[in-house]
Amino acid sequence: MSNLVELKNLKIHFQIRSNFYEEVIRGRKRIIKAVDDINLVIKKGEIFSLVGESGSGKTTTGRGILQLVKKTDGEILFDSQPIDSRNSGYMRRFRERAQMIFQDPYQSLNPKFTVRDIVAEPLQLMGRSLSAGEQEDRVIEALEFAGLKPGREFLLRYPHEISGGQRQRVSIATCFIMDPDFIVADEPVSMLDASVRADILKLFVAMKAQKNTSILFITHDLSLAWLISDRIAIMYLGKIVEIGSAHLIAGGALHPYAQALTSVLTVVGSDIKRKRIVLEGETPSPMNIPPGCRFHTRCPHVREKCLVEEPKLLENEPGHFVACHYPRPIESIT
Amino acid sequence: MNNDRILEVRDLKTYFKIREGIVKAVDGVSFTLEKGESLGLVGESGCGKTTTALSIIKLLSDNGYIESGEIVFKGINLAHMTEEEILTHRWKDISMIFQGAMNSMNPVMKISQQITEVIRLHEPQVTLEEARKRVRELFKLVNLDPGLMDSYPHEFSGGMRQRAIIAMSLALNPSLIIGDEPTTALDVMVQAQIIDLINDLRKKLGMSMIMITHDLSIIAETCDRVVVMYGGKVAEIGPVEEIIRNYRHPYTEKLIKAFPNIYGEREMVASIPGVPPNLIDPPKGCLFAPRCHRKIGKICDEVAPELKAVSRDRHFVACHLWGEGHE
Repeated sequence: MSNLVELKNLKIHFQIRSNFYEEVIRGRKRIIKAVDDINLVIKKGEIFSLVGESGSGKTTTGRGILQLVKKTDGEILFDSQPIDSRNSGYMRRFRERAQMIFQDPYQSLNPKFTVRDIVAEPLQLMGRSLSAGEQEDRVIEALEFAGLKPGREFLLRYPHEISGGQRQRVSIATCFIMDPDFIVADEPVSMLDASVRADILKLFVAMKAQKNTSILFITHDLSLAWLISDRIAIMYLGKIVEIGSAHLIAGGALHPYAQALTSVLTVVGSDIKRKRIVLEGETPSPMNIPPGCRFHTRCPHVREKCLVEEPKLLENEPGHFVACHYPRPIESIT
Repeated sequence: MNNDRILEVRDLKTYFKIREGIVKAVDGVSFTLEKGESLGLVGESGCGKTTTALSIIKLLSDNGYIESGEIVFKGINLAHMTEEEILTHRWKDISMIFQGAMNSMNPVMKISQQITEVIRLHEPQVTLEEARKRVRELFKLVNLDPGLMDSYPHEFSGGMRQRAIIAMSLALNPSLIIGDEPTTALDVMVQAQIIDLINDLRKKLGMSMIMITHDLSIIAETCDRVVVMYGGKVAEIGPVEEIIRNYRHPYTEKLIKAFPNIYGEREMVASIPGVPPNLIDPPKGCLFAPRCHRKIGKICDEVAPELKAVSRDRHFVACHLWGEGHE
């Protein structure tokens, strides 16, 4: 499998306004390091999950790739080419190929548009010269792919007339109609009842299988990431701490943060009970990142080296990368 | 045994009047809660779990009302109390932790003030100094630094705010606490911390609790027994372990199977086809029948199933699959 997206030393920092005195007189700037030097690769036709708590930088990474926020430093390659954000022709084509699905289907759909208008809008924006009939056929096809059957019955409905799950299906149809190579799905099911989540996730799996689409699935829900991902990365405070297969979630983690995060996941109906590792305190502010390993303030196995030297993300075994000075499997910890 | 009974809800019916008709949000729900016990109410959005809880402390919106039934709290029926009468019980005897700590605090009042206000409203003889002393104790109890009690809510992180809300709910030493999705908006690790805190407090204070959530894993972590609700009715009720292992209701089965088992095979979880019933004009038979994968025939469409005991272990189910003659 070749690479579709490559991030090289990507940094996305935000400057926030403090007061006039601090900023102008003393020249101090307050900077949030939302994404702080990450490297990763998303292959063609894979579902790659970014998992982390709020403030870990997972959403910013996704938005950064789609050029919805500006990078501060580093490189973003799409199809082995740097994304040329100043070239409007290139960006037009890029926007067709890379799509986004947002978390909240109540806010991401225009309430004054019918379902047909919403799904057909990208076709029109991209200037596809289709007859009205062809366009309608495409919309119906997209709706039915997204599980809104029969599609024709949904064409004239408004977002408020359909349920939350159906709205998210409309978002997916809107994305599907462009036949994209890449989709960033930011918490696409976290607002939905557990009973409909599965069906929505199945659509991503279907898109990957039928169209070889690459999907970046951003979620805080470890079990959902486990369920559909080919590979998973866990983020903490702007850094990737571990990348590996889905087994990472089911006890295969080597980084202490990843181990803690996966240990508190309750599995309903399983006899396997893990010792819960509940970390104290909360994630430090991304404005004030601890020196050395940024997890050292909460790490249960912290040693001296961790206070001064930031660990690199290194390959521990084939395909399994960890950013920890002293990685070890969860069973060996006493 | 009955002295240990904190709460008994009998055939509770709570309806809402809307333009289109009457919504039977809770329609004949019964359960009991013993002293020190923790009971979970679980179900999809709109199943009536929050309405059941709001009926107990009578915080229903203006168009909602208790049609019939009894809510017996320590021998007193709350169901038909007036607003004035319930005020003496609300918060003092029964308090509630609401969903979204962010929105249940006053943003322009110090947290200490918000808690002392509650204390002194119900116990006017308490001086401000005594009340503040109690706030300090409460902060320690929920593992918050008492030195931060004069902060404003925005100065706290989400987890700290949720701890403060829990402290507030404990301010008057109530015998029953109702938690409405108390961990839903929190991060994974903070959620684990709050669950530990709740379990710790239950042990320390012998607190009785009703936990409302759509997340079965939280019920599994914090509750002794669980009520599975569907369409405003009880589908199944029993001890948590028993329900998770030996569920009988097809809806419970679907609910459990909707959770991926990360230690098992990686297969796509089953979802529940169809939509929850219209509670203005509910179907005549079993409410779950139109979505049920184990329907046995006409009886499901025509006769509403009663709750029947399926084991000696206080496990009851409302489903025609189970009962006399079957097994």
